[in-house]
Amino acid sequence: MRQILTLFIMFGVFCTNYEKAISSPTKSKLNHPVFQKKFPESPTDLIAIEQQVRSVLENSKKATVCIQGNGSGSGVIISEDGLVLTAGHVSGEPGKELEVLLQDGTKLQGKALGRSSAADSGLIQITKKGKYPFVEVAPPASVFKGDWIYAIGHPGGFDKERGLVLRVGRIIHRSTDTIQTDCKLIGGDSGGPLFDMIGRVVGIHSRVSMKNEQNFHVTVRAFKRDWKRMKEGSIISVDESYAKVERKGGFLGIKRVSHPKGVLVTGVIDNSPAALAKLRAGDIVTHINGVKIESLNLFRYLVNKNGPGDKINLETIKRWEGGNGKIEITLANRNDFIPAKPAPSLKER
Amino acid sequence: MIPQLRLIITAQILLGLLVCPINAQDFLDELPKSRRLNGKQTTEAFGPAGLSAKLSTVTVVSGDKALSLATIIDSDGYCITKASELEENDNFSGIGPSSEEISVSLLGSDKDTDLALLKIDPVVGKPVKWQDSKHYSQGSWVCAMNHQSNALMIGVVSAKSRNIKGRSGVLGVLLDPKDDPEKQGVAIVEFGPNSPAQKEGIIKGDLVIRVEEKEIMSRKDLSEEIKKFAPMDEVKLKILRGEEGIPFSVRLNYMSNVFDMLDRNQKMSGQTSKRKAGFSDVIQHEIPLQPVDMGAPLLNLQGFAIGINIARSDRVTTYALPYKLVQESIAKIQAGLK
Repeated sequence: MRQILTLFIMFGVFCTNYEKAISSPTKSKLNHPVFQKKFPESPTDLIAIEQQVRSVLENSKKATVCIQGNGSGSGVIISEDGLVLTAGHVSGEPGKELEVLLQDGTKLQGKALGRSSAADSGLIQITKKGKYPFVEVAPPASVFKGDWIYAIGHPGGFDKERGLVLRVGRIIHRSTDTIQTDCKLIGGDSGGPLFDMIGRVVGIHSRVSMKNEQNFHVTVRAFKRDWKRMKEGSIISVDESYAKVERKGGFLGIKRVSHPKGVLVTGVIDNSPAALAKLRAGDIVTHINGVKIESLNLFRYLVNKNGPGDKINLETIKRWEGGNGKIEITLANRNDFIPAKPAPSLKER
Repeated sequence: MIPQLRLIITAQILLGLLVCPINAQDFLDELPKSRRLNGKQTTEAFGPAGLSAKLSTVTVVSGDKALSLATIIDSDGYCITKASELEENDNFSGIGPSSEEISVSLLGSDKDTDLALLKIDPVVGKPVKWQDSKHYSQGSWVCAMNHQSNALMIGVVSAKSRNIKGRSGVLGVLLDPKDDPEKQGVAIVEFGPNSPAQKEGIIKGDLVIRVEEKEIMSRKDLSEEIKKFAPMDEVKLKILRGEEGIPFSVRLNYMSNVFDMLDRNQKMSGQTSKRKAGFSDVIQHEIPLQPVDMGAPLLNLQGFAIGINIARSDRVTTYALPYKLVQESIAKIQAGLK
């Protein structure tokens, strides 16, 4: 028991230092002390937040659009030629024609590109050539729990008399694909932008919670992960994109990390199919069955959906021998290599 | 266990306990509730403005039930609240800012603004101080009292001020889509939730043949006639059931009371005000309030009232009547009392 406590406390101390060490890059651009505080302490602090939002709000509003076609949603233009970030459930089927409305009501034609049904990210291209107002997208993972943010969108649909609707709040929680904030959202806001305090997009409104002040946004990181395939017009399904793929029992036998060109092999398990096929640490797997490996999750998916005895085709970059290789590998039975172990009970720990 | 190791562990526990209480909340995966937008630590930053909001708000009660909040407008005990929240209630009383029990009498109301003028006794709290529309715009911090938590809630002015077009009263019926121009009357095929027509005993299959003095030949005739009436107006209908013509008098309901349950955004909003339309000017804000919180003052960060909360429209939208409209309405009600 005492050991557990110690570990926990050590972890706690580590966390504290860690948080200080990686102070958000957003914060460093904001001079007022309120952005370093745990919470605002005076009207002066609140005024600083208000003024900061005001200094960037008009620019954000110019780039925020209403999207009509699959009901009514929102989106945000992120390039001069009119590429729009939105929610996957707003852009809908790739190729679909949609209407994109600027805040003054100007109607533009748009076409849905790809989307991820796992992360609820989606892309739309405005098809009419032109120079559109746009906003910067923040680098992935540049905001943290507690950071001040603001949300805008077209709740309930486009309303010129009302205009875009603003909400200000803080980040409650952040994970790889999702930011949770206390900004209030409703139908029609979906796909609209969440901004950091310097007016960069950090998320896209996705889902509402039962609790009014606890809603969900897709992270910029989720967009970046599936970027190429979404721009090509692909649908990234739940299975492929994220975690819980049902294992069919096929076993390859490599340890790996992600790599810009695919998956880097860091180790090979003795006598595994990978070892028999002479894969070595340092090799890079670039394709499985012709599909380019863009993430560890995609790799995992493409391997795990096969059972023992199934054949998969790998394309590899051979670091040791040089050149590229194409090999067919017959998967082994996972249970022969990794015995299924029961989940540790709380008592044991 | 090796003694040295034990010492190290003990030291770490001691060190940990010193560090821990200060940063305990950082271990949590979620931002602590108190630091969120409507957490106690954040709302306290409003300072004196928060106190002004509390001192100028009273609760209007009937029996055990809180109906609305009200704003103290002068030192003689005059207050204003949202009139439609008092409908179908009587024996009003009140609770002051420091939980004082007070008597409340309803003096008059203005249908256009949905404001009612009240007199409280004894005089409690502190009257609001006003500021006009020069003192806020989209993004301005605002605050108001919340009845349920008896706490201050905050948010920002979230959209442009504007006119919210009125909505007529409704019978809460669905009509036969087939219009027969030769035949008199329109058949009722279904009732909406809280339909006042159903409440009066009208049944499916009944034909509406007359509204007030107007003979009804089509669906269009019927909807045009009903649109002339406001919610809570009594409308005389002539119904044909079989061979028999029966007169009915139906008190029209608010469109929200009947059709909100069929609207997705309204369903996810929970309770909203039954009258949330028909205001010639509103300030839109995002403070998460409930219908019972209407009638309270909306204050800016400087502690001045810029309006009176008048309708919770949905989970992202609350309307407040701006100062100027409130002043005109109060003058109108007072003129009617003389």
